[in-house]
Amino acid sequence: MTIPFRRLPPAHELADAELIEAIRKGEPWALGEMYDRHGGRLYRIALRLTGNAADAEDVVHDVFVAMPELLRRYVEQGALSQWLARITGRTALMRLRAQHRRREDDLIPADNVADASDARVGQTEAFVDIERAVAALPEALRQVLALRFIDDLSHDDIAVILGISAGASRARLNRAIAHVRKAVS
Amino acid sequence: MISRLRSHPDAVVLADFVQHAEKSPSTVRAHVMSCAACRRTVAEISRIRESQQTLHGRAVPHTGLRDRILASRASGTRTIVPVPSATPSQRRWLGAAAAVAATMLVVVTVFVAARDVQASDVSGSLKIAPSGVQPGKQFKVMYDPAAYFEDDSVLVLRARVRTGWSESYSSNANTIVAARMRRSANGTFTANVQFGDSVVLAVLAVENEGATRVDDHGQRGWELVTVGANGTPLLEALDQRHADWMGRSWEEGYKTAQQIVHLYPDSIRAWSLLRTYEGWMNLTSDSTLAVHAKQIRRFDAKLRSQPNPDANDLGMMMWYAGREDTATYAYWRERLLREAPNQSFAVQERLLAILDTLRKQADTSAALSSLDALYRNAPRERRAQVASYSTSIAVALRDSSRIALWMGRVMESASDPSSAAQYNALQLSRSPATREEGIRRVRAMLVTFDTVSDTRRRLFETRAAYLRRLDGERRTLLSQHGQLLLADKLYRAALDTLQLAAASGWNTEIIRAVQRATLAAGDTAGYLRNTARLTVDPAGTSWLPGSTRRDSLEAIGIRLAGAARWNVLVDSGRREFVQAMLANASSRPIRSGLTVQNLEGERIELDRRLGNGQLAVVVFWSRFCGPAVEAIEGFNATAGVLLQQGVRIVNVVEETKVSPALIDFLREKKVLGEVYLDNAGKAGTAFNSWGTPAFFVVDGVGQVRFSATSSVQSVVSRIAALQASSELQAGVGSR
Repeated sequence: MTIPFRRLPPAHELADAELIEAIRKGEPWALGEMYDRHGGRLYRIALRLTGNAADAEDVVHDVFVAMPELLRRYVEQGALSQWLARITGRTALMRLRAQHRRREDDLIPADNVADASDARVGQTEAFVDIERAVAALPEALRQVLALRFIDDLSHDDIAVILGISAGASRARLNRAIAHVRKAVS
Repeated sequence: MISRLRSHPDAVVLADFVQHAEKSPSTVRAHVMSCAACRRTVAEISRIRESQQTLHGRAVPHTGLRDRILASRASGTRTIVPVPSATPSQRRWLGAAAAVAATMLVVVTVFVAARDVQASDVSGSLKIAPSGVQPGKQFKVMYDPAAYFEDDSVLVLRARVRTGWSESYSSNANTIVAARMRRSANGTFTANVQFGDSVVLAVLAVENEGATRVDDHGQRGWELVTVGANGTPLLEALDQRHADWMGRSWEEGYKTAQQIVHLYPDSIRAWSLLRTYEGWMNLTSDSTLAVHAKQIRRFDAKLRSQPNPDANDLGMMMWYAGREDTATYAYWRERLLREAPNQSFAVQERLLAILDTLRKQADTSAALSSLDALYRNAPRERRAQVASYSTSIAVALRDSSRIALWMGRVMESASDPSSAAQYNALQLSRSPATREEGIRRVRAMLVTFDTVSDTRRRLFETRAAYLRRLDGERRTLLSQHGQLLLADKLYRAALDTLQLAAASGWNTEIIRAVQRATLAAGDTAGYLRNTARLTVDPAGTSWLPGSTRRDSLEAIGIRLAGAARWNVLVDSGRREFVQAMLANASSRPIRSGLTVQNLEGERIELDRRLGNGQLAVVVFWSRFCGPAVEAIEGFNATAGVLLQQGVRIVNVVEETKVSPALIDFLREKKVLGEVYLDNAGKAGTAFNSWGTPAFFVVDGVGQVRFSATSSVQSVVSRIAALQASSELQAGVGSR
């Protein structure tokens, strides 16, 4: 007599709930799949908050390494990405506070401009004044501006990540825009 | 529907527009298209966004990060990261639920209080029988009068009536006399009333003959919401209820939107309206968005399965999906424009497309031809909008025949012919080619103020208040006329007209216009007199500390008139200012025993806290009301200065309990002054505050002197008037 079994679908076809269950059981392939689904987005969030690639990668590393233990405390509500974003935001902010570090790599050095075309170089140079103004923003304002303008996150998403209200996110963006406009005018 | 925005959108709204213009409210899109200043702001924000995306782009992590993570895990490395105490969606849902609960508590409290009022000083009780009235059916009204109607044997029942096509906001809605009621032997007044069968909602108020006193039931009126044969409130009636409450109470509008969804869960309009209110009231959350996404999918599937969906459903589906789902929006927009091009939302889309093409190609003649075709087949509720845009284009084109055509259409489609006539006159006066006709029309309109009819008197207005409002409109028209004459260098005529405008009430815009006219006409004495007037009202000058405008005017005045004479002029101006402002002031005590809660959780009797020799600004707001949050942010600088002047700032917040979120909000917004929670919902009723934000001015003995305004500048002027009044009474001079 044959024993019927359910053939496991490819990892990328698994629903989040099934992936979560697999991670809880300690399946390494499941953790990799979770990284493939969410890692890029979480990295960008961490980058906007920490301001540099190395710290952002460390934050994402810490979050995913802790994932199996984290997911034991997660209650499925259909908001996994939001929950992960929140954890990543808090981890990044905690790291920043611990290091008491301000962003150093504010301006893109001239030799990092990848595109050699005159138009792009000119455009980048024209943005230097804006970038300087953005870099001079208080961290709380710069973070919201980056998350909104670069990653197109909604204020609700930003609120989740930073642990503030959506109204606070809007207010910070308002102030950030005002500061930058004033600085470059 | 496009209604005109009354102020410029803030940078956040414009940033949303930059990122997703097609999802922005039509009011914002229309405003940006017509406002050069906002277009500049949009361009600057676009540049900032573009710079960030160009310089930082879509960053990706190092390719080795994945392996590093798996390797760490495999080697037994463990990390500890902070975990939220509840999932974000739970927390936000709880926040929203608390907000809804707070709102419902306020609303329920209000309704209970209204039913309990029998025959108080200002508000009686009114019952309607039967309890459910169908459109066009007769009903009976029984009114137990307020004490201040005790001498009246006849009272007038007036009604603001709304049909399915009535516009939002109550100020222009049709107001009629519903019945004359005689006092019966037991002291009550009764009447049998019947409205036309197109009336789906009526708001009632009672007044005496002569309209010197009006019982407006705390500015709520008594509502007749018509029902269907099964006794359920009609969808059209509830829709009109929300429209009637616009600008008066966001909470009532939201409550109505919730009720519509509850009663008509298969109405796309219902869900779209609820989504709109959630946005206005800062109640949007992951859970609410998920609910709407699900509804959009449901309606999308349902409509797609229908071979010939209703045109209005097509339009509403596009509108609803436009907020959340770009692909679904695009699909239904295309179908709407193809299958129902003359449906209301389709006309709006076509209007915006024509204006967009005009902006890019600057071919006004072609645009007008397109607008003409659009207008001929547009539904009635869209015609006024098409006509007003077309009129301004025709005026810019200086095409007399088209101007006449479109102005005629503005008049025929207007809900308020008087405002439409004024609009036409001002449009004409803006262009040199048609200015003379514009001035002629303004003069003709001024003549109409000589004969006052009751038809434009609003439901809650006494006759005196109505005449004051008309006076204000006349004053504004005179001011505009005067400035037109000034532009044409007819200085004496301008001065005469402007002084006529200034004589009928205090208005710093008009005073400023008069000041300019006197200078142009060489009338130094008049110039000095009006300059002095501008310095006594904060609205007349920039008044924040560090401003030099008031000092500049004073320096000019002293130089021209000498210090002694200048002081006399300022003193005279101040007396005039005080007299004019206090003429419109009330003197209403606050109900004793009115309790609120402070941030420490203690119950406070508000009436005891106010007065005590200090002026106070009592401001009602809610964290969940977008306009209120914006107002608080804008009020902060003003509040700081008022506090320095010894004025108390008393914040009354519509919440049921002190929460970490509220504390965070107060800290984030840097809210100044005292903060109390209207957790029992009674403070709003006691102050007659039916919407947020609302500012009240209370004098040093605890009387409410000026009732609700949402204008911070008005608050500043009112406080200045009370301060000046005290100084004058105490014999303190101008310096």
